[in-house]
Amino acid sequence: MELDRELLKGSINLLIFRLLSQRDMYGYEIIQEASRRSENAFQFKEGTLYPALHQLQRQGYLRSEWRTGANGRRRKYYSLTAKGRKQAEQRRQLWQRFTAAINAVLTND
Amino acid sequence: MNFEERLIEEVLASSGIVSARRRGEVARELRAHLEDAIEEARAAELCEPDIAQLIARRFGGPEEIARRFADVYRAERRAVYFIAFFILAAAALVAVSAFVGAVQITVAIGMGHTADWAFPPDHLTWEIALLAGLTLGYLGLHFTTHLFKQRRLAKAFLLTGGISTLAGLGLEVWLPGSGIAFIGAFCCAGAVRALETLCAGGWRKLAGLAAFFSTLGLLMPCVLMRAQSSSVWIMTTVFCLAIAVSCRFMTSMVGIFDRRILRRNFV
Repeated sequence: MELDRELLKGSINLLIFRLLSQRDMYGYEIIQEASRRSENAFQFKEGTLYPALHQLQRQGYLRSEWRTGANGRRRKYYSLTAKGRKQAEQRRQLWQRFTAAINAVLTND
Repeated sequence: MNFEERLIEEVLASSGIVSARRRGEVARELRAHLEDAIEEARAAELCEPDIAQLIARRFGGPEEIARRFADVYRAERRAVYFIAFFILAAAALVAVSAFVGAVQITVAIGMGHTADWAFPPDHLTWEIALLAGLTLGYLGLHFTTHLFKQRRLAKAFLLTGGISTLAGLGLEVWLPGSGIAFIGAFCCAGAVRALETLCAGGWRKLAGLAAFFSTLGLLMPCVLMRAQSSSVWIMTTVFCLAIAVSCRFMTSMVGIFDRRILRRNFV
């Protein structure tokens, strides 16, 4: 079943925070990793990732630098700042509370 | 141009990113993404037309991506817009004042009067305030219409009118008489902008503006009170015609600024 696009739009920042909290990645890698971990449930429009990354960088949550990868190609890697790590943890807790509340409504009579 | 470059070009054209360096960086990042996507598609042994279709579908519509970039960089764009407005306003005020002043002096000398006759001290402050109100009001109306999506002229008039009224009131406290001239000139600027939207074509606009300002010149109290002096009547009409020409000059200048400088960055 495809996930609702509006639901995806609201979750993209959370996904970015989660993936970058584990290691630095470039844009295409973020998309590949999100798709792999979700077993292809997350397949949002790839181009829309970049404005989200730029916005988070302007807000001070991410930093970026161009690096040469193992294949010799230059890619722009993103990583979390200290402010970003704090925000990532806050959003993760918020999401867990939110999903717990939704699940409670869905499962309880 | 291959499809990747076309896609990137479409995104950047409407992204509203002001800085050329940043646009280059975004292009580089998107290009890298598309390179990776194409490599993956080729590894899956798809043919080139199918690759292009698949990549374009997965990448998303360039308009949507551009709109999101425009949202991200809106504050930067507005800052540049305001700086551009102030620089243009200063340049326009100097140019209009110099032109109108030169015309006045030429006509005064032509009529056998001195340059001082064209600029009596009590009149000079009032005239500068009038030209400032006209120039800043006109340019302010032009630029603020770009801030709104609907009822642009009305909203621009309200915003610029509010600012001009406050400025005029402040000026009136500091230099009595000049504030009223400033506010009155802003109202003329509003009438000029409204006339420009109604009259199409270069010469018709100029004719409309000349007729408007000439009529205004004739109705000015100083002309009615000193109606005995034909020199004053001629000078006032010439002054108003010079303003009409200046308005057309400002329109052209703003048009060039919009098309060549701002639109390149903002559209």
